[in-house]
Amino acid sequence: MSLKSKFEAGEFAILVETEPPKGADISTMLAHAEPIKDQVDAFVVPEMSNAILRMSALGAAIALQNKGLETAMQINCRDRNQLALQADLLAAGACGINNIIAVPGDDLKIGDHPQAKAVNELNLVELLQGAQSLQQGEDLGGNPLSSAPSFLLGATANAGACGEELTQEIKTSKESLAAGAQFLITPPLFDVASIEPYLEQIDRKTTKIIPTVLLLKSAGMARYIKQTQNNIIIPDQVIDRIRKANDKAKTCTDIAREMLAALKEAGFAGAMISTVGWEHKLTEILAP
Amino acid sequence: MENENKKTRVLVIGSEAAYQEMIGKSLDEFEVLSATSEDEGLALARNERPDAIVLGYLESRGTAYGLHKKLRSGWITKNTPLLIVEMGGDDNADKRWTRQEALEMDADDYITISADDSASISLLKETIGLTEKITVRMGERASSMKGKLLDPNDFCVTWEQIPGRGAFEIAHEEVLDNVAKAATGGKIDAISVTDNPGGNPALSTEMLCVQIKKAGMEPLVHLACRDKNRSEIESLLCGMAAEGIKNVLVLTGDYSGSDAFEGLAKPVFDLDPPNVLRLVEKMNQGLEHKAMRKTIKLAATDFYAGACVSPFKKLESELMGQYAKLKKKVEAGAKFIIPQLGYDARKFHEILTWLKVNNFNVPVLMNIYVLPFGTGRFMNGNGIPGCIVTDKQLAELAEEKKADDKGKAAMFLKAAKMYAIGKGMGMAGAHIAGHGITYEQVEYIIDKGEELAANWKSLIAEFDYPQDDGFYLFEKDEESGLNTEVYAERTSRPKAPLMYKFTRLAHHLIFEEKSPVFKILKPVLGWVDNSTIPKHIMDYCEHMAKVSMFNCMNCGDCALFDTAYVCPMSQCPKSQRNGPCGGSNDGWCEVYPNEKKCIWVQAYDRLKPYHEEDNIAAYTVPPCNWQLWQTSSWLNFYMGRDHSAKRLGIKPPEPKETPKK
Repeated sequence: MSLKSKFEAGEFAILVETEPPKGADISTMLAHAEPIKDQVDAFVVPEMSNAILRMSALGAAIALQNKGLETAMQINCRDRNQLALQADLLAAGACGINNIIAVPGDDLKIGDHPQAKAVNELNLVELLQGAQSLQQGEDLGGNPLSSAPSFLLGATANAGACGEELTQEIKTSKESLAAGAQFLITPPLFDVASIEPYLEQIDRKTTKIIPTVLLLKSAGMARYIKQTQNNIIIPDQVIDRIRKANDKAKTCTDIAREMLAALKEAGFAGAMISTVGWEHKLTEILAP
Repeated sequence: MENENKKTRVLVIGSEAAYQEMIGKSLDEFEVLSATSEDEGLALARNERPDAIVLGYLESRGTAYGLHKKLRSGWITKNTPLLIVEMGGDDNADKRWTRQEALEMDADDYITISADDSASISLLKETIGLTEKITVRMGERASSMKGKLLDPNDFCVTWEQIPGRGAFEIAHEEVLDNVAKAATGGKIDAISVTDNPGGNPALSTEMLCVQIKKAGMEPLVHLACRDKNRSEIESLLCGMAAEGIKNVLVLTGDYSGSDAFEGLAKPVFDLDPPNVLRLVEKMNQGLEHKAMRKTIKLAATDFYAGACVSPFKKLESELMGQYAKLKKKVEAGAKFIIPQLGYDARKFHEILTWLKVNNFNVPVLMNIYVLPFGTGRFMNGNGIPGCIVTDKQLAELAEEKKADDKGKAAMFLKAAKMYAIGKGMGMAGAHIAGHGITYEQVEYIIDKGEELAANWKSLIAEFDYPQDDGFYLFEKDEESGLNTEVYAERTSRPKAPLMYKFTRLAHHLIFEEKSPVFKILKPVLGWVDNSTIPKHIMDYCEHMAKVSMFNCMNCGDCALFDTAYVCPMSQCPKSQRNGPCGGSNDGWCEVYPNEKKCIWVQAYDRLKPYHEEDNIAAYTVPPCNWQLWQTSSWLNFYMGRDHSAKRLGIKPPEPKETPKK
């Protein structure tokens, strides 16, 4: 069942983040993805997330599609101007990549090319509008296309924002939806209640919210997130649980698995699992 | 103990001088080692084995992340607390981990120090609290059982599991189910696993304990001396240390069972518990050994080892041996005590009183064995070595069995009452065991026990099960039904056998360094020792004489001096050289009931007429040195090679000048 039909049927969709390699060999990426393909509705291919140079999302997504795996390709505002963005969207459409997730792109400072120049010619909403425009057979210059691609569009939403930032985020989310986004991916959740203020202002009947389930690795990693990312709330109990655990790795996968179940229970449209370097734990997290 | 007072050592790794200085100053309560490169950091972490590692920025970016992975996957450093401490602020943006690296971080803690915090050391100490954080992280890696036992406000509960025989059996699933429930329940502090119970093969406790640790419970490994020699014990301990297993209960072990592969297994008993505890203590301080003429000190382990004692002995001679050996265990480094199972409250209290009177500060766990009638009847018939169920108790069990539930409720209530009594009388915890009991039943014992603990004194009368004419170490406190701190009179009046009188005389003549015979013999035997034929003749004659008198098996490291001339190597099936095991009954050997008296009962009875019975507890006899096997122990003694000579300071003869080549 395609991601689109899964959404239409109202069933809980499971998305799994599949990082393209930092190199030209795709075998490891495929080896992690293929064994779980029956449990996953779409493999989300991030585009240089965390500002780390990797193989392009387009290239990796094509490789996955070629193996019969459904993908959802990320496209970011950070690295290309509007021509390059549209060009890649057309390429994706041609290669059978029907799910597109527009993202702003992480700050280059946190990555491995802090010296690089960020483009950011289009913002998130404008990027979505561009994709929408292509679907209607016209580019952003107002010129007609010979044929139009067809996408299921999604975007990220900083649902963990608070205060003034939250007001701004809700505005952006609404604009994203107006610009054609049909689902929104939130930052990692460890407590459903932490995005309640955001959810209250979004019409959940018409908007599919897909929270991220991030696999923690250690108490130190959790404390890093807590100290450096104010939009992700990790309750102290979660960190204490890892600290006190004898088998910390197992406890981390338990926490992710339990979160996945909690999101399903809470009636979300789906969840995106992000393992960041621990792809080998995916089977354990997805275990029934 | 040396290692208890050791200053915490923290390795700080970071290439910037300012960072090293700042962290170093904020950790002034610790001994700080510093490394400024990846190679230096890795080398110090491995060679110096710090108690914790603080890792900051290393030139160039990505190096610190790479080192962190090496530390985490390294054999030596995998369990060392690792804290990533970075400088905040925009100036340092390119000196922090990339987010990608941070999201793959496998560390115990992450701390950013902002520019404001780093303004002064006192501010840094206060806001960041690195010292406290390191202490807490170290505590998390330490034995929580130890923490519970040493905390006077806590009561530590351990639950004993029996590993089944076989590799894939339902019994093992049951153990893991129990462990999973205990991990969720949060009322049990450690799961103990017996070591080849009954002396028959079972799944190895060490292996099972690794799984138990993974399943989220702290394990307590039972380490019995029956099936492994000193090398195997050390090797297993090393493996356990590497797996992060800290708690060990050292016991002699039942005698070999008859259910092993094609007959009874060879009983090893190479070390006895006092010597295992000495080994553990040395490992904890860094075991030293010689290789290539150099002394090599191995990295220290962090075991928390305890011992057993069996106060449920009828005879004075039996009980005194128990306490003599317990003294050696405590002096060797036993950090906690789990007594043999029993049901006489005054006997449990006896251990606490003995410890108090002797100024030993060692926590004791109440042994609560949930006892059904059938097992009680078996124990009453001396079916399980060292487990005492008196006729009075058996009659009560029989009465309780008549209830509709076959005595089940009464059985668990009794266990809860024992919990209450243990807690009330000042034990530091409870060790709960019982065949086939469920987690829910254990939880009932704990909850009900806690409820009853306030009225523990009123329950003592229900656990009054003295053996007929059973000896108690202390005078009874009639009011409480327990013990006073006044030693009871030791009224036994044994007579020394004629043979012992003769050996004493011979001993004084031949084996006292001051005796004229010794002085004459020493140079003669020195000559014999360097000869071939006279030495053979001497070996033969000594062996023949000692076989006829002591059943000598020619171990060459003679312990007759230590046991009033009752040979522990040939006469004790468990070769106990430091006191009795827990298995004797009414003075009889566990292996030969009603046939042979325990050698330590014999030794006590031989020494008492000379008022020398306290000699049993006087010193710890080292394990038999098998290098001396099948050699003349007389020569070994005279030439300063055996343990007695070393203890008495008998020196080997001066080496002759080596001829020039």
